[in-house]
Amino acid sequence: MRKIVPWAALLAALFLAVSCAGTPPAKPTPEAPQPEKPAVAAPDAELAQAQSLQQKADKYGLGEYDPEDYAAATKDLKAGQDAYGKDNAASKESLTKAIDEFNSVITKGGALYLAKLQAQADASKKAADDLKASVAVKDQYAEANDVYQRALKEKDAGDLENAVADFTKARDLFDAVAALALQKKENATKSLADTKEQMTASEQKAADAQKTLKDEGF
Amino acid sequence: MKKTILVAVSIALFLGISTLSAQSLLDNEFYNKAKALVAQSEEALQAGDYDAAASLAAEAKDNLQKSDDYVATMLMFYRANGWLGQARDRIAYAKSIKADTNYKDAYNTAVTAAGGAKEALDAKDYEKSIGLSKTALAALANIAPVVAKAPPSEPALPQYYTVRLVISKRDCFWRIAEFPFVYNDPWKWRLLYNANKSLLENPANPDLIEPGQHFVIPSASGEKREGEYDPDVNYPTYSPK
Repeated sequence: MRKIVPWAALLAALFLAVSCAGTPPAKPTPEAPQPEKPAVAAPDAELAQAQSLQQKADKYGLGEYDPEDYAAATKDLKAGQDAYGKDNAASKESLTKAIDEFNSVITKGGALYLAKLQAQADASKKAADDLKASVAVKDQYAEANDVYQRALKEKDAGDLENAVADFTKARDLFDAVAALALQKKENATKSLADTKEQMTASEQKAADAQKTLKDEGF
Repeated sequence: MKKTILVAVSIALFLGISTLSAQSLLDNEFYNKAKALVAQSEEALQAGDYDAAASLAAEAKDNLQKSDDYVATMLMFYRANGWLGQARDRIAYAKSIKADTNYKDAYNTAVTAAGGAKEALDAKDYEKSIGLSKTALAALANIAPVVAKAPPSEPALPQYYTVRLVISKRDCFWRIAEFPFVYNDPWKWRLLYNANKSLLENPANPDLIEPGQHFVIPSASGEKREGEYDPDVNYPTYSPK
């Protein structure tokens, strides 16, 4: 052991001597400039479109008709918004995806929503038809039917907003027409019943008159 | 509306339908129109033309009211006409039994009342007309034919005679025939004898009759005889017919 220590010290000293006597290390050469990514403009248009589509979907509650796509679209829109200004490319990518997904939601959900509105309008129209409203309240019925027919055309043309508005309006108009027709029907029914009642009373009066004459021998 | 009813009544009378039955009272233009309107109202209701249905029903109701008025008016007319007819019949009967002489006051009252009833009828015051006709009938309610009193009827001559025991003047066919209630003639004694010969003890002897024998008194000249002679009855005297 006593022999090993001196040798170790010697080696250490030697090492230090060698180290201190060396040249200073060369300056690191600056890294070669990385090739810059092309600048991506902020996806304003995509963002606006995606937001607009979301508003449209929300306006009619279309998400409930296609919840998966709606959730994905909403997620992508958020991702796009988060990346906006930081990573515009990624933002744009997410927003583009969101646009497609919202469009899908609007297409699928819109059709289902319109079908629902049309069914409501059809039911209101049937109620009016059952009350013969086309005769009872001719002008109002014609107006409601015009709106309904227009809504059908708008639906076929994929004009969601106008079709929604006109189916809704047609439903309300048919409801009003049916209510008015019902009121008129009830009024006429009561009037006719009253008249029949009076007719029975008139017949009784004539019978009483007959009896009076018979009793008096005439 | 009253004017319309009166026009309808006048037309009915003009057409000579005053003898319509009560049933036909209902068969008037207003009721018929109401029926037609009700049918139209029902059709309109079925077709959905509710405004028209209500309007037609209301129009029918108006016509039913007119029908009621017509029926009421015609009822009164028939009654007034009927009562006046009865009053006139009664007056005619009264005259036939000479009530105009025997019940002069009642007859005149009835004639006056009936005249007033006719005037009221013509004036369409049916209530008044009925009242006056009833007055006429009441005035003549107690009249009856006045029958001349027949003279008291005389009792018929007796058909049977029982021989009596009269001491002072004994019965015999001669004396019996002489009774006023028998033949009032003694010479008709043979009628009695011949009719009662078989009852005699000796039919060949008309002089022998006995008290208690029950003789028939045959009709001498077709006069009616009945019953047993009763001394208490005041019989007429027989006279040949």
